[in-house]
Amino acid sequence: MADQFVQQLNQYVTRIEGHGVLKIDFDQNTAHMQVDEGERMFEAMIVGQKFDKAPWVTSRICGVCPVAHTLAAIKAVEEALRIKPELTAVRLRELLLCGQIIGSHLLHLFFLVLPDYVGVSSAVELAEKFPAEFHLALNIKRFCDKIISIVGGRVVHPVRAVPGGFTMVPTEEEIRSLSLQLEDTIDEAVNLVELFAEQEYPEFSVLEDMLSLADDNSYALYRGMVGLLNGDRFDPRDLENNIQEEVRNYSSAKFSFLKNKTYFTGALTRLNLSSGQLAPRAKNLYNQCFSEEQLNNPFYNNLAQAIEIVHCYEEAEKLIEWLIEESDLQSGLVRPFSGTGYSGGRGVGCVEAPRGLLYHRVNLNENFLIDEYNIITPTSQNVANLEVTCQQLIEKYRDKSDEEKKKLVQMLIRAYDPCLTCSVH
Amino acid sequence: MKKELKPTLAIIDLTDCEGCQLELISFKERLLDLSDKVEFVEWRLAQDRSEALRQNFDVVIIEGTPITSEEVELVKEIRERAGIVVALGSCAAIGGVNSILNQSEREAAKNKIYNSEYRLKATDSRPLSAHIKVDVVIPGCPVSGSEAEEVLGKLVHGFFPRPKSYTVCMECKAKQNRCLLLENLPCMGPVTRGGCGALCLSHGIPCYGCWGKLDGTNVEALKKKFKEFMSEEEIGKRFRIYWRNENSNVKTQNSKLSPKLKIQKI
Repeated sequence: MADQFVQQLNQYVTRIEGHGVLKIDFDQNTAHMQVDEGERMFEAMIVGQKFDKAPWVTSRICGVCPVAHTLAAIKAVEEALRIKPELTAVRLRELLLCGQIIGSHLLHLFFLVLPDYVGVSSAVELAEKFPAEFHLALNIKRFCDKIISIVGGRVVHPVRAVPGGFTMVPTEEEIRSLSLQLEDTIDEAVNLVELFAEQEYPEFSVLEDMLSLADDNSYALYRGMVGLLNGDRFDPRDLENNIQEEVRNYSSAKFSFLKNKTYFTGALTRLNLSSGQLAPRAKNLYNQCFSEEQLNNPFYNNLAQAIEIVHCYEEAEKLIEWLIEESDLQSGLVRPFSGTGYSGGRGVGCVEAPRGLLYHRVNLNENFLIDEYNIITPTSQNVANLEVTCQQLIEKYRDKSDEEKKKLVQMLIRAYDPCLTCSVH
Repeated sequence: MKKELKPTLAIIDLTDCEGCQLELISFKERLLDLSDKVEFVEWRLAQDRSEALRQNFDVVIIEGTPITSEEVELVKEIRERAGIVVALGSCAAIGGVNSILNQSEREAAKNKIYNSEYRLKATDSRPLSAHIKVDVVIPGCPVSGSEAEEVLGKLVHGFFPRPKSYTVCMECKAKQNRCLLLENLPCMGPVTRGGCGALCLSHGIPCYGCWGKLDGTNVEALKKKFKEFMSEEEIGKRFRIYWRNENSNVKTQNSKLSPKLKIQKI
């Protein structure tokens, strides 16, 4: 979550959420992303714990995207244990992820981005000046919260999703109630896209790379290969060999590189790689609102998120229909796991979190205890890229006043939707 | 007409996942009702940060654990300026998952996760009460929105909210859930403070103890029960996820309101 505060010193300092500072020197045209978040070190916290603690504990990395961490951890653990969940469990997880993406994008767009564009300073002021839009946001929020509480048992840090399946599954009646609420609010999600399509975004384009999950047959969120802008793909299991993480003393978040270049991961990346697989209404909106050059402009990550909200609505609609018509919900329940003769193993879980590709890797020993854990979050991949694009932005707008440049930089940071909490984990 | 003076309230987050603040947001409209009665001065998630931190507050809600030296200094300063300090969530109340690692383990982990040259910003992770006096505790990982609402509502109306004096186990019995401890699952419900409504248990997950220890419960007896189906080492790990500080006898619950500043009656 990025909320910012500007101080005028001999350098310009843009504060992000109190736990990070983007230090910009307009004279030298340099930007340094200094993440000050204290190190919690989740990767060490869970070493020695049994495998089932991985989703529970790593969910606590982030209260905004706990579903994404839970699912990535579950996938990693399942792969390490070589267990395959039932299709119903997978579909329920995909539904959870839809709820997660809708909710996180909505909070970001409505409470953090919109105030910049309509000229108010806080969400409370926004509620007073734009009651209709505020109401719309609350309705969408209610819907995605309901998905997560019905399927996951609780909105923040859901409890039911575990390696192997779910400890409890929703009733058909509950799923049907979701369907009604979806029909009631899907048009409001479309209105949200229109609202964000109307805003004026600064002209800008970036020449760095992009990375996210990609799949030929679906808009990859829960599974896929890792895709790059040039069409290259690789197995998520090879992510650690393909990107380099660099430790810099000024930041508790690491910096990620892909063949020495920075890269962006997030909604705009997913549109770049998978717009052909968008659901019909989302695709239609995408065709109306997006032009080729905007796909290169990070400010349009905002509009990309709005389009993804509609996509996730349509995706949720499909999943709900499948769950009602074609599944035996009870088959999503977790089954006892015997694990005799297990000799340990490595597992990777990759999902698209709201802010981009999220990677969990677990190594289990023969006693099902966690030997090693590695987490690569979207924001930790994006900070290096944010430094570079900030420099490009102030270079492009070098003739503007410092005040205007500051505002642009703030808007750029917000467009990245950085989650510093996740970036240092 | 005389203008009503509303009590000022600030919400400040330290190192954590921010999930408890989101639980507060999740009671949405009712929160707006609350904002008729109090003036929100500082809340990063809902408004732009301002110079507000420099003033005094009637109530400061602190979420997260102070784990950097700056955060420790900040909470000391806040204590000076606050009438009532509320610890929101397990991270603030008992250290939460942030406290799983002790200081020497943190240093060792640093070399693996970062490198030997990197200097940690965070030192140790201990609850708020290890650094300052805490008046009110709203525990949970995350907190229960309805319990938080109840506590804040009482504060705003001039009552002192008392922490629940019964266990999760009791709430679980009232819900007539099957007992997971009898199925040899490591449930901490018998020694954990109630307030969650036995949420995890009602979804088939044994209690992790995130509401913290209820004073007067017999932890040793529970550990003895655990020994029937777990090794000593496993029991230690189980109690570590939320209770490292509980085990080291850090005082985490205070029950007296600070006499310095009483919240104004509305």
